[in-house]
Amino acid sequence: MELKTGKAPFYRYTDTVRGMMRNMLVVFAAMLVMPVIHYGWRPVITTLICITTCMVCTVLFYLLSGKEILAGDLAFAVTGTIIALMLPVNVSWHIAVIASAFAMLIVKLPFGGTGNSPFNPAAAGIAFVTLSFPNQIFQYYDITSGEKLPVFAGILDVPLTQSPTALLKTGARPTTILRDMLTGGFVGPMGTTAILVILACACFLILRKMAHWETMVAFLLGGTAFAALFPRVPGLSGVWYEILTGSFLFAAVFLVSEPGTTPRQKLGRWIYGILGGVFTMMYRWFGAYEQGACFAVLVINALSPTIDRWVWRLTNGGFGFISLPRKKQKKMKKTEAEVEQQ
Amino acid sequence: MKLRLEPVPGQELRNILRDELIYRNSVVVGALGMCPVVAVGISLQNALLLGLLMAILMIPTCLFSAVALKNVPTWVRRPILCIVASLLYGLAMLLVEDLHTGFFEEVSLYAPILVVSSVLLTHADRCAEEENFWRALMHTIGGSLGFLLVLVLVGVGREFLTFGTIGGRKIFQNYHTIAATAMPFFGMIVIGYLGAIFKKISVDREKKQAKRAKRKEETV
Repeated sequence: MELKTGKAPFYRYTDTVRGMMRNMLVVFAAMLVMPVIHYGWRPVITTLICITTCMVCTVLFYLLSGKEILAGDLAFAVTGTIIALMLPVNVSWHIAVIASAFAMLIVKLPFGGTGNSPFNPAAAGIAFVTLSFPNQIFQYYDITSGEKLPVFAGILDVPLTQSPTALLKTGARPTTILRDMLTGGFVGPMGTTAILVILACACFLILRKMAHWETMVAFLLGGTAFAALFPRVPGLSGVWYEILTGSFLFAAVFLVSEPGTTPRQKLGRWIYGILGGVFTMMYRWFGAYEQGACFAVLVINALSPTIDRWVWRLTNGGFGFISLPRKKQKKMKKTEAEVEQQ
Repeated sequence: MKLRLEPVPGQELRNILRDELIYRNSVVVGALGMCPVVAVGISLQNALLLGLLMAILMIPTCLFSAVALKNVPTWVRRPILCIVASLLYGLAMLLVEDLHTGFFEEVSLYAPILVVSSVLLTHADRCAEEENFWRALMHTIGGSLGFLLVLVLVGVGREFLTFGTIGGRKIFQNYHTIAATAMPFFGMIVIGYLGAIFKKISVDREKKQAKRAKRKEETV
């Protein structure tokens, strides 16, 4: 008979990192369905290549540093899948390998692995290959051409076209219809075009408490407000195109809401999300590339600890010129004292 | 304080050189002089020429500091050192330009910035405080070699990743150029990794020394 020394009730806490990552992989498996329907098996092969690269980098890193190999939490698979879903389906596989290797060896593992990296590894990997290979990252297989996408050889000969975000950058109005945007039947990075699937995944993540809804909503609000106030294409449809094309929605659900990099406090997450949305749109407006979600995510990752610190100071006594009313400060101090007594 | 010319044991000079190269490397351990390394250290050729330029500026300037500026306050010494280095810069330019025409146009601002480099000024300050000429000379040579070592490691690594070449020679025939590795941010990443490697070497050495000291105590 085993003697339990804890206090009742003896709940077993089921949420582990491995469990969370498994749920994420279930979500990504759902995300891969529409790309496979539209493009064939190439998205799956690209995803497997990214996951394998991440795994190999993880094992090599821990072997070279003489530490215990901590790959059982499957975090490398999540990073690899996000990278694959943000790449065009016709991308050369060496780019996928470079993005995955950069994400793991430079951004994630040197800082301590899962939950310790100050930057989102997938966003950093995509940003790196965007800087290195902009021509390949922003040229997409023309889904309307009728030509079958080869899985292995011949990928360089497929007909290419620009995405709606490239058209928006030139001031032109895209011609994609809403039905195609909801089902992923338009040009863009592999996993970012099926809007309905992304929204369903967002609901799943929020209900399972694996992501904070405040960050997602704030990101969307910030970007939408900027797009509405400074439209590149006039009318409400211009705002729809800004939100639903490119990797904006994908970043809102999977990049910005990553638990390791978001601020700890609710107000901080709102500020973080709004800044992220605004920066993404600013990168689109003024940046060199047609999309800027990854760069914006990296910027707000860098600001995350500062936002946490400022929000904490604001809610615990305030700054010199901005502070809570004295009565509220006294009330908060009293509550803390009561908690200590208990 | 006078500068003495007494001979110093070879082992001590070797220790100083080793410390300046690895355990107290100015760039990787001291975080000094990173700007030219990060901005211009993108090929082996650039690394060697910049390292040579630094050596030509640093060694005479630091020895001048050791000989003539011993009792001078720091706030007076440093401007004098910058003037001396800038006078040497003209001579260095002639020599380096002979070796590779167009080098100074390629590196633009990052060559003259060595005149006021924190690596040069820090070593010159240390030489001014050093009592023995040979130790001061070894500090200076070690400092410039340490700077060159980091430049070469960063330059070779980035040239290989960017162009797939080392010293201008292609290693792989069908190499895809990775443009981002030639950008300054990647230079900082490489320096960060070098810092980790140098730190590991330093920590391993301290562990060995601690073990040896413990064994000596046990035998005594």
